Amino acid sequence: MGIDTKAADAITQATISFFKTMLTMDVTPGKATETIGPASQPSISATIGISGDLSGTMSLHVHPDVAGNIMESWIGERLAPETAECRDGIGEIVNIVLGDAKTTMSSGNINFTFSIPHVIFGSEYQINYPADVSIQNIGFDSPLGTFEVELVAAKES
Amino acid sequence: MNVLIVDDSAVIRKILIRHLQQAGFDDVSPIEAVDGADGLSKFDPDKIDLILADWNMPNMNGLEFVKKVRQIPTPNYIPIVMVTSEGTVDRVEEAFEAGVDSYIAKPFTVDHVRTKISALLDDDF
Repeated sequence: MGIDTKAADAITQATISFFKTMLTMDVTPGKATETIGPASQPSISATIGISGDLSGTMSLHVHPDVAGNIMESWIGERLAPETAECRDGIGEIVNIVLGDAKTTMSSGNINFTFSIPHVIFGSEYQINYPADVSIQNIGFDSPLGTFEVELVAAKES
Repeated sequence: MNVLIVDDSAVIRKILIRHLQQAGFDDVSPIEAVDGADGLSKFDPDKIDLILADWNMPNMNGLEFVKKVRQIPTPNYIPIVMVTSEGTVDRVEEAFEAGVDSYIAKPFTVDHVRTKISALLDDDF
């Protein structure tokens, strides 16, 4: 199993753990695909850069309505998706998930650092990546709606 | 209890305040800061009873903030809890060496907050 696959597994488990721990909610992952998100438009995408043994980006793509549902369940307030606080919250989810996955992977001696999240909000945008990367996009079902978690990793040399 | 909460995420600051109240710390008076530099500017050694600080923040990160706070003379020892997504062993050790007293890894629950902070406040610093 390559580092990118191990990372995708760790990120999947960390996503499940985040929703279970902080929203007391079960989310169900689908099979990873090589599709570049976001699948739905409009969307909110939060992305974090990764550097080290694992190199690339991790993103969360979520429809604005689902983002509102997630924030309402998490902090008890309905936030409009265009607000800074809603985008901050979606970015923080990526930060927490990747941090948790990093802790898991460090026990397997795979180490990396990551940036502060950047959040994009709008319609009909597409994120372009370099050609020679591994893409794993994992769709999740939840009581709040669907969302995607995406790992784009540089291929191991 | 005056709690300085240093985190660049407004959502996390809000959740921490709510968790502190739900954990039974009813007398919490939160002072919010958006990064380490803002935290230092709002740090009053005579008034702050507890600090909760994130690690990864712009301008001044949580580790730098903790090191600077520990250089400031205070009339009473002020416990610092690092609340962060950075949970690897080397990061935790680095935080304790910098002067952190306890560590809460994100994601966290009300029980995590209650357990860690109660243990700190029960200690005789």
